[in-house]
Amino acid sequence: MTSTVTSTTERTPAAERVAVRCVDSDVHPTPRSGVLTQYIPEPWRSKYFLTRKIGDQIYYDAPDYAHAYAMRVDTFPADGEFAGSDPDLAFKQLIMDAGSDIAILEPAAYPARFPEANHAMSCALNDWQANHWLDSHNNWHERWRGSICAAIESPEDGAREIERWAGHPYMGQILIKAEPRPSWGDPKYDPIWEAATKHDITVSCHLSRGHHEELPIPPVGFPSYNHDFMVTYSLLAANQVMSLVFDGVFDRFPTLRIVFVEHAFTWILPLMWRMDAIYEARKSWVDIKRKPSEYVKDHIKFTTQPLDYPEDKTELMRAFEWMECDKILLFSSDYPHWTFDDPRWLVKHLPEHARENIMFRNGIATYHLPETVPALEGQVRVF
Amino acid sequence: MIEHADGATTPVIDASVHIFSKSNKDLRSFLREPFKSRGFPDYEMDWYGAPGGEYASNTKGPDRQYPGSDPEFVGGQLFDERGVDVAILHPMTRGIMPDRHLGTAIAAAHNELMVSRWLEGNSYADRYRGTIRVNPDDITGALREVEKYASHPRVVQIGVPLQSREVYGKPQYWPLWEAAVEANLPVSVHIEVGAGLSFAPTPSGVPRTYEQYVSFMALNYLYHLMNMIAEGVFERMPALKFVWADGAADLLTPFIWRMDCFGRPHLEQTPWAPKMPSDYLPGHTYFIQGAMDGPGDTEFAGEWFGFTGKDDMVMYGSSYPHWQLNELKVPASYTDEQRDKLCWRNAAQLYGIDVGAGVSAQ
Repeated sequence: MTSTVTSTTERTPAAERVAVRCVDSDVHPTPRSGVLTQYIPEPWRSKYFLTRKIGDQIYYDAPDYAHAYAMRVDTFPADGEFAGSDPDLAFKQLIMDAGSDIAILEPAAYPARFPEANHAMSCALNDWQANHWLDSHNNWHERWRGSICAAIESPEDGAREIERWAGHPYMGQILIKAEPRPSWGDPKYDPIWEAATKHDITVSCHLSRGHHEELPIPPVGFPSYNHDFMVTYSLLAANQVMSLVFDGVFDRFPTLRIVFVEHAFTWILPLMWRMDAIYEARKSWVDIKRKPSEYVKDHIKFTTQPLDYPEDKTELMRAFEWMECDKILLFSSDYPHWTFDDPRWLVKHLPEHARENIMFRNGIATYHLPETVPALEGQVRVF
Repeated sequence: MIEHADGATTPVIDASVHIFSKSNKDLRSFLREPFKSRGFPDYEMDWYGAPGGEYASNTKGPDRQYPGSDPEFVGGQLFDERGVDVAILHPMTRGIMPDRHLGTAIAAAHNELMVSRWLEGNSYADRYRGTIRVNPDDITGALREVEKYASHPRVVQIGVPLQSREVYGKPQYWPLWEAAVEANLPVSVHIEVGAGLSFAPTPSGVPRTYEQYVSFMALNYLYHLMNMIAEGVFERMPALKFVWADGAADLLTPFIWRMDCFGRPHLEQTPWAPKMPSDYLPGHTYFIQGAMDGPGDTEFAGEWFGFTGKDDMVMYGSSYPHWQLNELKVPASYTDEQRDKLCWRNAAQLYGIDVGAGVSAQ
């Protein structure tokens, strides 16, 4: 115990290394107030971001929003800043106490209303991560991996940003938002996929919400509550999967890897059947080369949080088996959000043979992570 | 009656047969002015018309009739060739009209056509059951149509488009759902054909391929259904029954798991729908089986069919004469009970059809 405390305080990695047994694919860091501004490139800092006072934008509110702000209530640091703003508290709660060995950071800026501004914000988030989470002071333990935020709606800019960060030792993936139209099979996005595959970096997609048609607009009208809104939000990801497959993105970019983060995942099982049936019926009209489910299993992964299960959990076990969960899932906690899944809780739900793949092997392969990290004495081990 | 691969014989109710007018001239003969002289779209769409053709081959009659427009020819194909005992007809109309009066008039013309031509006055009329098309953008006009046909012995449900600008749990639709309950008729929701008003067919806008369109489009029922649950529509109307007529029942299982599990803490926001969301499914939710549905003839097909009680909800339907013509194939892993429910029993119960009587009447 003494040695751990010492090493944590001194911020020096131990010489001894331990195997990575839990890769957490969805962790949300937040800038402390006022810190991000300095990184936003001009003219957008002055011309867009600082031109007005912006209040809370919440509509479709999570339960008890007025008290919890959709966060785990114990993740707000003592200094009054927002949940996820203190790397040391996150390190204690997520790495030491919950047992995540490597955490993929996914900063989530509020979407701006036009592409150049979103690109400027992406640049800012990347510099901010590099200086405030991935630097030697904050990442002394080598547990944090950042995301190269890229504005998918501005593909040439996004590709340039990927070039700027490719090769950074602690940037683990490219992060795009799920909402911009049209869906991803459109060739306008090719520069992003091109840059990602050139550097062999995985592209992850997180939901973000937005305004107007990028809330997005469900084809038959808007849900009423966060309940039906968030449940049906998964259809956005389902549609992106169909576009990636039927528009032939994986034929154009045979090494492209895509991760769907926090879109739920059990729907992929019947969706694979559905796409395969359509392919079978309409083979002569489509240009793709393989069964849709084969593209899914070779190119796409889904994060485990939120884990949705039925009253009879044996049904979930069967669904895991039929979807070949060991090939397509990555563990994620969603720290510090209210929907946090503790890795020790999650792992118990997985079929035994799939646990190592889902908890760390798939993550190591997806993000090109090391198999060991410097030991932290007293850290919880998940399994 | 059909004979299955294992030698068993069952009746067949085809719960979704799509019918059409013969031509615009034919349809206009059921319209009165000022609607008779109006312009409105044909059944076939441009952007998302199916490459290769909208209809299955051999569904035109010997005189090149429009597919699904001739009750004698259709009856021969369904009842004589395909072994169907009773068919539920669902008229396709002409897209969602910005002018609600015109939309209602086109729906009413199809109803008059269906009742006079299909449910009466042909040699298969006692095997046909009908869906009354109403326009949910015009509640007054819709209630008028329900009132007009509710007591017709062969009218068994009300039909509305899947496409809408507000989801069907919203209160402006409640008078129509209440009228359906009052008339003891299920409400069937089907993708409307023809050009007309609608948002883009996917939440990411306009897809490039027909395959993405056809794969996503049916899934839109999930927005309606989850909203109806959260808005307490089934709590308020315990006898209301909805039929999602474009299939994709398989997606119900993951989405209702999500609605129950992720959703549970949200129940405090909707005290008018106090039960677990999945408790609102039995007796309220039905599906037509589509040709793209299910895991195929796998060893677990029957087990999957039982998840979420889908085996009490799904009814065989051919979607005749559309290209997705669904041939009745029962996976070997279904139990005899699941097979019967799919082939005829669920539909017989929902629509109050006495299959034995229907068959012996021939």
